[in-house]
This record gives sequence, structure tokens and C-alpha cells, in this order.
Amino acid sequence: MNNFTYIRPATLRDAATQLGKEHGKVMLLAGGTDLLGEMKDDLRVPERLVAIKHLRELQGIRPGRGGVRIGAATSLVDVVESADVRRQAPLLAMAAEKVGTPQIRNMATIGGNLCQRPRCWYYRNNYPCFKHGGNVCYSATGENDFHAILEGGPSYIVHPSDTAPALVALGATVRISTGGRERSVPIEKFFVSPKQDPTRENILQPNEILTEIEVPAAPAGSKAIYVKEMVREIWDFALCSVAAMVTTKGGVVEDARIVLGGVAPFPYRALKAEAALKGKRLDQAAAADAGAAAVEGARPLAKNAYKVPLTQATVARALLSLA
Amino acid sequence: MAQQQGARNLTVVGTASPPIDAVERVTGQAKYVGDIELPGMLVAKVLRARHAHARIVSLDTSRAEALPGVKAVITHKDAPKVPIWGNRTYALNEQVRFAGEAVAAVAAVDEETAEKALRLIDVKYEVLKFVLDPEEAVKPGAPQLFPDGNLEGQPRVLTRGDVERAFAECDRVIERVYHCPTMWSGGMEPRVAIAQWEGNKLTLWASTQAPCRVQTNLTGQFNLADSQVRVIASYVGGGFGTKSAAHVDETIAALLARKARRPVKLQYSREEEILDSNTRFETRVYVKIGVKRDMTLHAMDVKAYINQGAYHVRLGGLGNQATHIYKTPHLRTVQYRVHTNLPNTGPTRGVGDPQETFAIDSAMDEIANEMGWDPVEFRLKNVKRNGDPIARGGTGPEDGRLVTQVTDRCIEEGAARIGWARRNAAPGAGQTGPKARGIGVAVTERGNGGGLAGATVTVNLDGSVVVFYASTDIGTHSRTTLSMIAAETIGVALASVRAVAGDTEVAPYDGGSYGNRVLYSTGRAVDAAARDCREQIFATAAPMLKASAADLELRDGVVRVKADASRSLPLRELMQRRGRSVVGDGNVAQSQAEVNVERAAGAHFVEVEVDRETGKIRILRYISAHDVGQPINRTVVENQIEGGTIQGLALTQAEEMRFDPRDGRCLNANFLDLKPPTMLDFDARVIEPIVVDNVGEQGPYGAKGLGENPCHPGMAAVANAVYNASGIRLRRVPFTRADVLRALAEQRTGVSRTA
Repeated sequence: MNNFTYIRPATLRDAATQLGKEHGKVMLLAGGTDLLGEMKDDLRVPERLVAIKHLRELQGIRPGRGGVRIGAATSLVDVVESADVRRQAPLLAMAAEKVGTPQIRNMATIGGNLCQRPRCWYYRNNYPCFKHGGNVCYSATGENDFHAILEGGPSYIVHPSDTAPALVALGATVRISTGGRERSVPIEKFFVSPKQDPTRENILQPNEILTEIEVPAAPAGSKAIYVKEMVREIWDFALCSVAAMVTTKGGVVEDARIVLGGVAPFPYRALKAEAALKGKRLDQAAAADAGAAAVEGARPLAKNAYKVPLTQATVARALLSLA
Repeated sequence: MAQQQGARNLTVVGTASPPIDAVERVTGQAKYVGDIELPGMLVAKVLRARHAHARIVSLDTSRAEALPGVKAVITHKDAPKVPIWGNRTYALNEQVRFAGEAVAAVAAVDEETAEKALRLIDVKYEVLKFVLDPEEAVKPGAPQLFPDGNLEGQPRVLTRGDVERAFAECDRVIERVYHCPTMWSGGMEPRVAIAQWEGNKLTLWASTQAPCRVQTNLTGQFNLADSQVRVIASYVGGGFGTKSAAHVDETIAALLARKARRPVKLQYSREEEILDSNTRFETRVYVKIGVKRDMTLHAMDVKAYINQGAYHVRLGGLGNQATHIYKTPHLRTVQYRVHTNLPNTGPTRGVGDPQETFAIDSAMDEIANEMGWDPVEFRLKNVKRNGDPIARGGTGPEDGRLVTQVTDRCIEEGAARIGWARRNAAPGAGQTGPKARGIGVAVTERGNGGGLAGATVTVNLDGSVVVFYASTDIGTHSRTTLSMIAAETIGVALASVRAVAGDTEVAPYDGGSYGNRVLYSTGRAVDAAARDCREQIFATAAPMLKASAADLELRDGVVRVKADASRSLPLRELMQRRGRSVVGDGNVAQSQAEVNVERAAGAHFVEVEVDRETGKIRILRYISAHDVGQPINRTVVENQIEGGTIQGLALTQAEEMRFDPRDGRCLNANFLDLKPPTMLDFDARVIEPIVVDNVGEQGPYGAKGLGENPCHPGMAAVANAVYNASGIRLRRVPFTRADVLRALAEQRTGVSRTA
């Protein structure tokens, strides 16, 4: 690991003044469960680390009108255990509980979970790929068992976050600050496609800090579930995951939000599956149709075709469990 | 067994108790090598090649040497031109043969300085073509790793009967290929070595299973006498074979320490441990198997490619299944041991037997199913039984007779426990819905121990007892079981015995902790040493009790006249009156032919659930029936069965090392991506050990070795159960979602997309 300067600012404004104009030179340190490993592996060599986990402005889970606001530095274990989250947005608690291990959830923050880097073997082994400023995706013709089947190219990473699909399904908004200026962005717009920018996974500018996630309360009459398929039972990233929230009225699906993790470079909203479900009774046939619709347009690589039937089945089962 | 134990009048052996050092281990008081800090000790780091195959053209260490805090830098120029072990050419080589091979090492005052120094070493390589596949590596024109080619020696051939003629006589013959890729399943504790020189005397603390082998290597590297090299391995955080021989790390640490004139600690990272310890060698096994209508196994022809990687600790290969487990009148096995540009290979739990069991016992299952036979009945019909012929030389003619063999009883007891009759009559029969259940079986066996075993036992002036042995306790709890043997033989309580493990300076030569041998072989040495002690005690006691030594007995720490219990003397009092310690000598040399006739069998039965939509295989119930001879400590036996079973099952789930075909680098050398199982993956509660009632002939108190065997059958048992559940046949481990879903799709469409 290279030497770096460590700064522990007193306020969010102080933290923001430390940030630079270039990605990678100054980096924010929250839970550190991803960043410190990356630094030890020389994937990232920041000159300066700005600690933000302690910042008062980034703490806490605040129930508000029609939802909860979660400080970005809130640990995942606090999200999982929050009575407010469990009541207003249980889908988020379910997803956060599937992250890593208890030790990781104790350290990691929700903001960090949204901003973590991909788990692609080539990225993690420091191949000069798109993510490292190169112009090749080594997985495209390499070992791509765990890569994207949807929306891939030119980089075929999958977004690794568990909380992201849940937050997209819930229609959350993220707040971003430069210390002085603030902006709010619907979380769906927070993530970027590699077609827009293959080097990054989100819209954060070098001088910006993700400060808060506003999660609207799940609609009345809605049911939700997060299902994550892994190789291991725990301590694993998703082969595919499904965050599904279905609102029914009189036995008929009024609204459905179906978001996939682990299959695309960003949390993938399965709009066709959502459309397939609306106005139907949620039964085995409807769930199966939605599962098939979810993977429409999938273009698997040489070694990840299994993700297509796996995702299809996982979506169908997730939905059926809500019936 | 309890009856038998009573009949044999045993008081310590055969009981169940926690390991005697359990408290030290779980409270962190046990000192592992990584815990040791010596005054002035330096930290070593290793520079590793990123190329799978390259020649070092130039190597400039001057900038690293000039860095303040750097005390020594070594390269291949410093490495003695003495092979390490197996074919690992030298500690550091001019030609690197796998991505991750050491090319230089630094000792510095701290880790940061050492790492910084590595970046200042300038290496220029001539990059060479590489080969990863063992079958490609033996083709003409393949890149050559060694001047004499990639094939290690001659193909190893065993022939029994006339295979060609026999296949013509068969009613059914099938041919299949089974593939186990390069896998890693080593210990939690990565390699670590501390070297300290005092003049010409080298002391080396190492995490090793075989201190005497490390000692032998170091005497060769540095041209020293055994008396000048002391190797200490007190506590070892798992080895599973990967630490069963000398490795480069010990020599590198010793070279740096000699050059720096200070003690040096070299501790591998997890990545280094995976890349540069020993991997489980890849095997591609072609099996041709033929049967007659009367259910006899008539002929088997096995051709195996063993991928040794760049270097091997010991030549890998198939072990015991094709040759020993079934009566196969016509048998041929041909093994090609091939070097490729993959990492070092060596024994890992079971060595080649898990891979071979996967091949042979899958093929047995396939042909039984094709014939419509009950796989258990088919195995019972053909399995060797007690008194059947066995090759005493391992691979030669069947010139011996099996003793204390209970393979049949392992099968019968396991089948009864799982309810074998419940299995699907035809594969997948009656399994509707996405989740299909089925039951499978696999049978295995292995020999026990052998080689040179040594131990001494001391009875102190207060009657307490110490066992000294130079092999290590790698988690098999040999400290406990060897102490129990000493306690039983001398006639004292276990609480008064302590064992000192893994120190070559205080104990005689002993091969090491591998190959089902510590209990079986070192245990015999301990028993012999304890008998020696008891005889010396009786000789001392005889005049004191006015009896002849032959009339004495020693039980519960008291010497008595057998015929007159009132004439007795507590051992403590006897020793004080004697005024001299008792030292018992135990050195045993067992010939391989002698031990080969006594073997230990196991039969595993598993019920699985195959999710036909997600490809997930779940283990619902797992029966591991094993012959352990006389159990010494029943708790330890059950732990070994559970641990070995889980380690075998781990190979069905993940643990494959993945290499980029374009550059040969390992892409997943970490615990997240290699995915060794967690506590939640294979719940020990679904594993039911069965200890088959038996007493061996040669081991101490009739005990047999157990460390390896439970790791053998998992892959075959699960594959056979998956077939019974769903009708798909998996012939490559690990059984990934991709493999299961592809096979199910092929089953539905009738189109095969696999070769």
C-alpha cells in the first residue's frame, strides 16, 4: 500500500473542501470494507483519504413524512435493525441483511454499499481494463461466469450492491452535496451504464459526497421481498438477485417494481416484467410470465448463460412468494 | 464396542473426551509461529513473477538494497543449487514456471519497507510460451518446462489380467471421462517460517506437518548435519497435506536470515498461500468399465492425466480405488504425470483418492444404472472382503491377503441408516415439481501410515509422563490420542500425560503428519516407548515389592502385584525412590508391504435435493460410515469424519482455481472468489458419522488411520445422488449452477452441448 494523507474533518463542509477535481486522488473513507482492500491490492492509490464515517451530518435514520431518511454513513447493521426501516421499507432491511457477513455489515455503510466497486476478477487483479482507464474488458472473452447478461458492454461488470436494487424498487432519492451546493437525484439516475461511462458506476463528481438516502414508505397494500442467489449461503455476491415490490388491489396487481442485481452493470429495472404483471392476478402463470419477461433481451457471454434461467426462476419465485 | 473395550480391559483408549489442549487453542494461549516475536527480528517479503512462463534476463536489486531499513535481498543467484523437495528445482529459479513463482525476497525492519523494496527490484523477463492443460502439454510442439520434457518419468502402468480380451467377454462396456480441475483446500493458517542462525546452527519455526522433512531439506540446502538444524512446529493451523513437505519459504527465510545476520520471519499472505503452497492436482480420468450380466465387474481400463503444475512436492496420481477396492480380474491403469505452467501441486487431503473415487465410483454407478442394478447390491457383489487378495506392493501383483477389512459392513450400515430402499427406483422417478430428491452412495478405502516412526516417552520423578514426537498436531488431535496411548500402556491417568509435538531437537526422526500415519505409525512408536517405560518401572518396582517384574501390573498410577493387590506402590513414590527418570525408546520402521494388507474403508450415503430451476444442490442428509479400527478417542474420530466429509463436499461446491487462458494467471486467489464453504454451507448437523465396529491388527490398540478417508467419497456420492434425483450426470467438479442447469437443459432438449 502506498503512503497517503489521512484527514478527519469536523464537518461535512470541511470534508467537502478536502475533495479534489480528479477522480481517485482524494477518496472518501466510510466503512472501508471495500476501499481498504482495494488500496492493499494497489487497485487504488489515493493521495489523500478523507474520513467521513463519523460526520454528524451523515448519521442516523430519521422517520419522516411518508418515509425514512438514512444518513449515508449509517452502518448496514443499523439499517437492518431499524424499526423504522422495517416498518416503512422492509424491502431495504431484507436486502441489507443479505450483504456480506455480520462483520462486514457492522463496518460497512449504506452509502458505501451503493458506491462500492465491481467484483470482476479482472478489475480486482488490476488488469488494465476500462475500470482502470484502459480500453478493454477482459471478461468479454475471458472468464465471465459472473458477468452481465443484460445491458453489458463495453464493460461487462455487474453491479454488486444488494441495497441498490431494493432502493430502486422503493423509488428512493439520493442527496448529494459539494459542501455548499446540494442536489437530489432519483436513485435510478444515480447509477450509470458503461455505455455512458465505462470507468465509473455512478454519477458522483470528484467534489461530491453522497450524504443521504430518502426512502419513501412502501405503498399501502404492497408486499415486497429480496431474494439473492449465491454460490455460498453467506459471504458472497449475487449470481442474481431480485428486489420485488407488488401492490395489489382486489387480488389484482396494481403496481409492480422488479429490480435485478448481479446481472447488469447497474441495478436493472425489469420494466417488461413489471408491465407483464400489471392488471393480472398474481398466480403461478403470471409469475412465470413475469420471470420470462424479466430476462427478455438477455445476451449472455460464453460462460454465464445459466444466469438467464436462474434469473427467470428467481424472479418468478420471488413474485409468487408475494401472492 | 463397549463390550469389546471391557473385554480388552481398556480404561483410557476408546473413551470420548475433548482434546487435551482445547482450552489453549480456543482461548488464544496456544502459540502459533505467527505469534512468535524474536528480538531484532526482520520481516521478509517475496517478489513474485506475473508471467506463467519466463526466463529472467536481468535482475537489478541495487535500488532495493540501498533503501534504508532493508537488511538483505536475495535472488536466484543466492539460492543453493540443491532441489527443495519433489522437483521444485531451487528455492529461487532463473526460469519461472508459473505466475506467482518467487523471483526475489527482501528482509527489512518492517513490512512497509520490505514491500517498498520489492517495487525497487528491476526484473527483465524473456516471456516464454506457456501451457496449462495436461493433455496439451504432452503433444508435440507444446512449450517445454524442463529440458527433459513435460512428462514426468514414464507413464505409470499397472496391468492385471488381459483387459482387451476381457472387454470382449463383457455384456456391457461404457466409457466416461471425469474431470477435477486444480483446486485449493489448505489450512486457515498461511505458511510462515522464522529462521534464526546462531553460528552454524539454524533454528527454524515453521507451520509444517513434517518437521523432519523440513530439517532434511535444510541440512541439504546449507550443507549442515541434522544436529545443526532444529525445526519447531508446535501448533499448526491446518495443513491438509499442503504443508507435508519442505517448501521454498523455509529456505528463503533461512537465506535471508543468514545474509542479514538477524532472525527473519516470512509469513505468506492468503493470496501467496493459495498461489504458492500446494494445490490439489487436476485430474482427467478416462474410465472404461465392463460388466457381465451376473453383476460381476469384469474389466476396467483407466487412463489418467495428472496435472502436476510447474512443480510437485510428490508425484501425484491415482491411489487406491481402481486397484484395491473392487475385485477386478482384468485391470489396467495408465497415468501420465504432466508438468504445466500452473502452480505447485502436492498432496491435499486424500491426495489423488478423492479424484479417483469420483471417477471410479461414478463409473460404477453409471454402469449399475445402465444395467438396472441396485448400485449398493452391485458394489457389495464386487467389493473386496476380508481375506481377499491385495497387492502388498501397492501396484504389483496381488500377493497378499486383506486383514481386518470391513468395506462390506461400511456399505451395509450406511445403507441401513439412510434408508437406501427409499431411493428413486429410476432416476428422478416420482420427483415432480422443481425440487427433486435422490440418494447416492460412494465407497472408498485407503491404507494406513507406514515409514519411519519415532517417539520417546519420559516418566518424571513425580510420576508425570511426557510424550515427545517430532510430527505435528495439525488439528487431528494427535497430542491427545498419542497421550491416551501412553496413558493406557503405562497405566496412568490421561491427566498426568503431556505431549510435546513437532520439535526435531527433542524427539527422534518421524516422517510427519500425513497419509493416515500419525496415529497408526507414530502411535505404535509411542506405544513401544511406553512399554519400554513400563518395563523399566516394573524392573525398579520388583525388588521394592519383593516380586518378579512379570507378576506386576500398573493401573491408575499404582504398581501392584497381580496376585496380591495389597502389595502396591504408587508410581509417584516409586519414581522418587528410584531417583532417576525413566526414558522409553520407541522407534518403529514399518515396511509398506507390511502395512498395505491392512486398510480402512468408508462408505458415504447422501440424500440431495436438486433445484431444477436454479441449479442449486442441497445436502439434506449425509451418512459417513468408516472403519477406524479401534477408536482411540471417539470425539476426535467423529470430528475427523465430519471435517473430512465437509472438506470433500467443499469440492462439489467451489474451490476451483481459475486461470485466465490468455496469460495463465490465477484470477480468484482469495477466500471471496475461491469460495471455500462457510459454516452455513455444509451444516455439520446433517452429517452423521458411523464408526463401524472393528479392531485392527497393526496399529496401536488396533486403531487405524482416518485423516484422509472421509474426504474421498463426497464428489462421487453427491454426483450419484444428483443422478438418482434428476437423471443428470455430472462428471466435472465443482458442480456449478451452470453445469447443473446446462445438463438439465440438455436432458429436456435431448441435445448435448458438452464435448
